[in-house]
Amino acid sequence: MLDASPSTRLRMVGIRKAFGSTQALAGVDLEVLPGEIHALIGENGAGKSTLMKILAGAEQADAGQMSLDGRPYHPTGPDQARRHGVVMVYQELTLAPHLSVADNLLLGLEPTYLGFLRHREARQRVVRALKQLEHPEIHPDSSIASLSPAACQLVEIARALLVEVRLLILDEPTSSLGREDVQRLFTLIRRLRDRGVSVVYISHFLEEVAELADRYTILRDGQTVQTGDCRQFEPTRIVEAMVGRQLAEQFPHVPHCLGEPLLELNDLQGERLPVGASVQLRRGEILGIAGIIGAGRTELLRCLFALDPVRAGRIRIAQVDCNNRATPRQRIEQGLGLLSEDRKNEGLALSQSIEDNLTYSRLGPFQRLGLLNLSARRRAVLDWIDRLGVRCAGPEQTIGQLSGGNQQKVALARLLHQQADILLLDEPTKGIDVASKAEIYRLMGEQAARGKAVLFVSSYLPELFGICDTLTVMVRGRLGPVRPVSDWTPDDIMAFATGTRRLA
Amino acid sequence: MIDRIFRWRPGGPLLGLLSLLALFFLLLYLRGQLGNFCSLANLQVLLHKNSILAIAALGMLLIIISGGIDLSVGSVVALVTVVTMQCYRLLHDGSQASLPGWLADWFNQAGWNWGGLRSPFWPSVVAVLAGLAVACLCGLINGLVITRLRVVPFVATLGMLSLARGLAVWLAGRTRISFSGRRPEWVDDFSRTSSDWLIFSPGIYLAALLAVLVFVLLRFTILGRYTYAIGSSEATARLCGVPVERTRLVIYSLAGLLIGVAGILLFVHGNGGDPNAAVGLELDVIAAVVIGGASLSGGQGTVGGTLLGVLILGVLENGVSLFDVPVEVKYVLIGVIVVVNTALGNWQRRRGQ
Repeated sequence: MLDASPSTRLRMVGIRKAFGSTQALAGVDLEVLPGEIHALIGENGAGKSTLMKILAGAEQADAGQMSLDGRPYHPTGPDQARRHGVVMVYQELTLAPHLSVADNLLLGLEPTYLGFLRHREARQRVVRALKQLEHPEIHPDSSIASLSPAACQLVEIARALLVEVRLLILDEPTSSLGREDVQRLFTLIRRLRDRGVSVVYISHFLEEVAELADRYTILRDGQTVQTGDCRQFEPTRIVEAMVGRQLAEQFPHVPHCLGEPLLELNDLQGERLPVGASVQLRRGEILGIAGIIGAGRTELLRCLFALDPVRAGRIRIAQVDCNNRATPRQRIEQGLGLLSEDRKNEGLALSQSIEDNLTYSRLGPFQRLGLLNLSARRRAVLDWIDRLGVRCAGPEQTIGQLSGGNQQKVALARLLHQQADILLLDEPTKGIDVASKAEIYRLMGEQAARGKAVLFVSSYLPELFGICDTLTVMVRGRLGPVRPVSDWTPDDIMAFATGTRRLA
Repeated sequence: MIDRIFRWRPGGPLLGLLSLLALFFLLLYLRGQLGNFCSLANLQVLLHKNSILAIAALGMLLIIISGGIDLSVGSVVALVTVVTMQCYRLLHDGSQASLPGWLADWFNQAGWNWGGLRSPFWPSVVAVLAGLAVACLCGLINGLVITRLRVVPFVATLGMLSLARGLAVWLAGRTRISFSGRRPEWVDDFSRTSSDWLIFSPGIYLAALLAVLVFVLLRFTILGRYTYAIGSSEATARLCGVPVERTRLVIYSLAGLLIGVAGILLFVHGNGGDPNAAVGLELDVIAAVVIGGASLSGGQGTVGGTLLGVLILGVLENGVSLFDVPVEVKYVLIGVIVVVNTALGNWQRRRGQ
């Protein structure tokens, strides 16, 4: 099955990978030629990062075969991949901020003699690698903390140049860079390609792909859907292939109608993000916010919920102006409830029980004369467990032992228990099974039918189209126009989100 | 019911205590000393000695559940003994009588000449309250440094460790200070290992009462639930509207108060203020709490476990003292028990999941 033709640098065939019950990769094929820039495109969660982690040795595939320059290639760890000349530069930078550029470059690769560091040789290798960057302002002895994000990105790449790199993987390298830095980075990438290095380039920005890449591969739902030449690159067709056509039945519809405005934001600005967000949310409305990771959607919700400081702008809840410098406690009292995107670290206190996690935000009703009535609380929690169909051993079970879907139901039950009128849901279906997803959609519909308002942040377009009444898209910290979902097409959303169409 | 008994698996600390007791029973039985170990008198001494540790451990438990640590316990306890003693002497004997030189001079210069009340009641009340207040204040300062200046608890309380010790030494005039005349009656009662009609020393009942209060606080109050929430995940607590900073302040102050009570008991047991007392007490206290199943990463720990932890340390010390083994052995054993017990607890938890 694997032909050993030397004209391909990398060949991946039928790669499969599951995390628990989630199938992240369901048979991916990828072929990269020597000396080409190969773009890997797909929605969030399509499996790009997982595939690249497997390639770079950070994860092991469940099934499938890989070959590098015609030889079987099965790295068991990142250092082994590196020795084969396969290096990945991660989206979130992995430099140690207190060490110097040289120390960071050498981390894990220190040339030694009898256990002692060989200083002169190490120095020479660092200087040689930095020279290739052609950015003389990055000195080996400057500390990482003193460098700009763009320079850090270059240092990451220099780390790849320290070994004889054959295949360089760049995961969203431009997401933290300005326009000029992007161009300088592109020049460097092209120079590497001309030297025969193969580059796998992951990006959400289709215009970047069109500008830089030679060929592309599109992933969707853990499968390869299309491979092609960038000379025949048509953004609209690409977007269609990325989004695909989805069935509507998995989105149970609960009829609901829209009422008076409940939440109004006027040019809300945070410390960094959002840059300016204005939106109106009515009773009974499920408003979806699409956008790529890093567009500022999570930051918008956190500002709104007073977890992050608000720099400017106006928040009106139920026609009353709200203090911008509030506490989350006050926001809860004003009827807001936030479901965190980071369920394991922020959404839930994993070492505590289900009943504690469900009631932390509103313990008051169980209190009498300063003491909690634990049996009343137990009854209330049992009621929620029943209503939401949480599968568990009992209210006192540690929540960390539940499956992702059941954990999320408890997190959502907390918002219902605290009687939130405005539900701010940040990626509520991330990493949970299909059945739980459908139950969470149904629950959102029911809440809207009861006159609550839902602000629904998601990176998964089919669910936004499946259950939202209105949709908008966030791009680089700004919110686009809010339109009924019937006035949008997935292609429009992707065109806005990936920057091929500018916000009005 | 029978089903429940069979399913009942004793947790780490209880298992530890039981096996330790079994070991001592066996060894002492073989040596024919079991009677000494099991006697009422020995039990009275054992509990009496460990009531201080138990009360301080309750304070530490609150802090450790909230994800913090307090290294200043020993110093604060010493400071409490000194403050209480000085306060008592000032009120009872007046400013001239046997206060340290600098303090007497200072009073003289200010023109305050105070003859003293010469009766034990009010000086006792005020002195005890002053001791508690000082400890509470130390806790509050710890809390303020941690929440307002954002210094990690380890460092903040390391600072207090040195600061309180220095203050105690200064306030005591660098020496141990004691009652000038006869000590008050309540001090007498509390310092005896047994009592006529209560069987045990009153300090033990005080420790038991405080244990019940802390248990109720942790289980049945919002503050208690918040303490666990903050220790388990501060981000989650914030998300749920828990006033994290304020809760921390209250926790450290309450813990300070409990440590203050421990200080008063040490003042009583030791008959006065000793600025060099209780060096390293915090390590015993932390050991007791950790042996009791609390996690230093926060969010876990119970009053019952902590008391068991205190008993394990107490029984160990008591049992070892019945053999002719040198004191070093005790330290080695404590070290082994802390580590093995924690490892066992982690292992049990991993298996449970």
